[in-house]
Order: sequence, then structure tokens, then C-alpha cells
Amino acid sequence: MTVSRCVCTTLARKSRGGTTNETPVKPLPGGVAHVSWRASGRPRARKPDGRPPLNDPAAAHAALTAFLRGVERRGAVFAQWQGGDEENGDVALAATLRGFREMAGDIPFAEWPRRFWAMLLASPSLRVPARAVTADDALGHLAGLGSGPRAALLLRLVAGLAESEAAAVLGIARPTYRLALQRALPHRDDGSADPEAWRALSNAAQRAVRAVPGERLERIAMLRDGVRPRQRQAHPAAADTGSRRRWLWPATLVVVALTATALAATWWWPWPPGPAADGSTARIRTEALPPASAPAAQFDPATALQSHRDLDLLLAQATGEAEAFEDPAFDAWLVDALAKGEEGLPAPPETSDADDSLPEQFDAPR
Amino acid sequence: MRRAERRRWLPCAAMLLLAAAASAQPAGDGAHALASLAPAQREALQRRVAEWEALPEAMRRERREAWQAWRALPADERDRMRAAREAWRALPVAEQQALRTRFDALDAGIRRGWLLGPVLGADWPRLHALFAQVPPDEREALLEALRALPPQARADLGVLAQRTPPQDRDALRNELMSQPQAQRADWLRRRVAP
Repeated sequence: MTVSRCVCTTLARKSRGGTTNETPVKPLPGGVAHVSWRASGRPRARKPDGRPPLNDPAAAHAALTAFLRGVERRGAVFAQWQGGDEENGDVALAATLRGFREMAGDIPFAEWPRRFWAMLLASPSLRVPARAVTADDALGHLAGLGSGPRAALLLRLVAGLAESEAAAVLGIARPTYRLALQRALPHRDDGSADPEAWRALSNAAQRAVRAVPGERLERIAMLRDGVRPRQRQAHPAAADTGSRRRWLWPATLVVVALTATALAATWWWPWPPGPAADGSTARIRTEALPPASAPAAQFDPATALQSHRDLDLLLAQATGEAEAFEDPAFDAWLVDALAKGEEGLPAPPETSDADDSLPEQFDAPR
Repeated sequence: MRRAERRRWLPCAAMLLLAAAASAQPAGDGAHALASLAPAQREALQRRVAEWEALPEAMRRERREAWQAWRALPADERDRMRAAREAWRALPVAEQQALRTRFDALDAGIRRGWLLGPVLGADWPRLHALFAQVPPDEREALLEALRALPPQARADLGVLAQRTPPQDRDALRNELMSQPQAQRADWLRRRVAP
């Protein structure tokens, strides 16, 4: 832990002057200054010749281990507060630690913090909608923030990144990050900044980072290494599974036996006998309808004839008035055809060509 | 002429025929007509009813339509049709069959148009466009006005009907009917050949 504090971000109360290795950071209202990872970690991590130790596998591994140990407490608090859930946060942190360890060799040493926090922030489980992160009064402010402003605030408060690093992690310009941070800061009702609330937030962050228990760190390490943690809530879950397993199989067997019995009963159970040939014991009984009664009223033939639809035609035919009526359309056409024939006009074709000649004639005016 | 064009004649002709038939229905009660029948006629009527009921519905419908069209025709046209029928019967059988074949070869729409009689039937192919959509209460007056027009005026009206786009046909019809009957022929002549 001593190495991690030296190599990694250090959150401490320092004087405003700082040392020559510190990145100039504007002091926050609570008097909390940040000494960036780059500023405080590099001197100890460097070799005597001043080059980064990345070319030396042993030194690179040691530096990576130290870096990861240095960020895991902050990462745990960051992930918990950003995601609003300790379990999800630990899983996200473990995945980030594992992924970062695999790719750290390809990343310049100076880029490690930026890449690590960006990876952690990109974890899917931290992208959930804002939830109530804590009931603490000092941290209640975080619950009202959206995901973006909360990340901006936590990168400063918990991760302890400098403004440029935090802006790079979020992938935004420094002025934009500054604006986001200003909006995320606690404000009074009149809109002015609230130094007391900011101080309380800062202190709460420090306390939370320090208060991360070693047991939780071990569990995160196990998650990181792919070992199933058997601590904490694993016991009640295992107990539930065990008790469920105890009754699950007997219950399944009982259900199967009952189903088989019910199926067999459909063959051998003494059901009521089916319909006999004579229908005497049929479950569906049929009964012949009584003979239809005579209708209450009926048209007599005379009335039916009087109201016949074609009475006038039938009358005309019966009385001989309609003798000339046979095919009026043909008769009318005959008048025209015979008149044209008598006038000596050329007779139309006698075949179905007439069907085509007429339309031609009538279409002509168009 | 396109076949779709011919199909449009069918409902048009049917509407005119139905309108004509509606006015041709006897106003008196059937009971009165039946009571005036002689016993022999009554017996003939009973036989005729039985025969009629034995016909297929399609044939009954066709005969009913032809009868209603016949009833709606003016008496002079009916006389001319009777005379033509007699002249046709006087022809040799071969000529009778030739004429019948020519008529049967006509388009169904044109054949139905001849139900309007020898006067309007000849002009029907040219006039149908103008009377495709006619309000029911105007049909009878239109038929009467058409029959009253001289042949040249009906030919002019046929030309106008072919020239007039569908959206203007109502206006043309109303304008024609707004003219005094004696001036309609001149009006049509001016419209066709100004």
C-alpha cells in the first residue's frame, strides 16, 4: 500500500504551494488539493536513468501491480457511487482491472490513469440510470445528478484526476469539463456555490476511500482473477439453493407420478358407460320435434296471384295483348336494319365483325 | 371501342329501362284486373302462372325486363316494331336467320340499348356517355326529350356527348333541358357547329 500511495494518485491535504513535481491544480473550496498520479508517481517509478521502466518486464509488472493496487480503492468507491450499487460496482471494477492488466503493456506509462478510468467509466454496469447512491446527507447531492455530471464530479472527487486528465477520460474539452463540474457542484438555493457542501462531499469521498474494507478488496481481486467469491452473501444463496434442491427432486417425482396416474385413469377408471347402441344411456339425448303446426296466417292463392310481381305481364300474355311482344330489342333493331336495307345501304357484315365495326364508328368522333 | 367502355353501357341502359318500367306499371289494383277476366282467361292465366314459375330465374328476369321496356315504348314505335317483325317473318328463312345472326353478334350493351326502341336504340351507343349518371327523377323527362329530338339533333347531341368530359356532362344535360323543346335542335346545332 505504501508503494501504491506513492505511485498512484494521492489524496492528501497539502499546502497550496505544493512541490515542484505537482501538477498545478486549482485548490478546491475545501482546501483539498490534488497531487496527480503523474506528478507524484513518476519519480518513484522511474529508473535511475530517468526512462519509464516499461521495457523491463519485471519492473513493468511491478509498476502495473502497484498502479492497480493504488487505484482499486478509489475505483471501488467510484464504481459504487457512479453505478449506485456496490455489487455492480465491484464487478465492473474487477472486469476493468482484469482488462486493463491485459492491455497495459501496450499503453504508455503516462496514459495508464486516463485509460484506466475511461475503461472503468465505460463499463456497461455503470451506465445504468442514476439511482440513489447513498442515504448519506453529504452524498445525497450525487443522487440528483445525471450520469455525466456525476462522472465529472467523481473523477475529481474520488479518482482525484486533474482537470485535463478528467476531461480526457470523458473525451471532452477542458472548458466543457470545467462547465460540467461547475454545474455538478453543490449550490445553495440562491444559485451560489456551497463550499460547505463541497467540503462535506470531499471529506465523505476521502472517508469512503479509506473505509473500503480489505475483505472487499480481496473479493474484488477474486473477481478480477476469475475466482468465485465465497464470502458475504454467498452463504444465504447457497443455503437457499441447497434447501431448494432437497425438495425439488421429490416434488418433481411426485408430479410425474401424479401425471402418469391421471393418464392411466383415463383408460382404467370406471367412468360412466358410453352411449349404448339403442341410445338409452347416451349422455347426449335427442328428442324428435313435434310435428309442425299450421301457420297462423297464409296468403290464399287469389291474394298471391293478385300480388304477383309479374301479374301485368302474365295478364297480357293470358289475354293475348302481349302477342306482339317477343323480343323488343330485336324488333327495334329490325326496324333500323330493314330500313337501311330498303334504302340500299351496304349491309353490315353478317358475322361477329359487326361487333367490332360499331365501336369503331362510335369512337370516331372522339 | 374498348370493352370496358361497352361494359359501362349495361348499368346505364338498365337504369333507363328501370325508370321507364317504373312509370309503365299499372296503377290499378291487380284484383280489379283479375275480377274482369272471363273464366277461360282466368284458366289461361293460371296455366300461364304455372309456366312462368317453372322458368329459371334468369329467364324470368330477362322476360320481365323486355316486357317493361316494351310497355315503356311509345305506341308508334311499338307499331313500327310490330311491322318490322311481320316483315321479318315474311322473309325467307335463310334471311331471317342471317338477320338474327347479325343481331346476336352485336355487343351485349348495344343489344340492350335497342330495348329503348328503334329511335333511341340507334343513337344509344353515342348517347350513353351523357346518360351514364342521371338522377332518378330526371330519367323520364330525359327519355321523353330525347325521343322528341329530330335525328340531326340526336346526332349533334351524340357528338357533344363524345366531346364533353365526364365532369361537364351534368352541366351539358341541364343546359339542354333548360332550353325550350322547340329550340333544342337549333341549340344543339349551334353547339356542334357554331
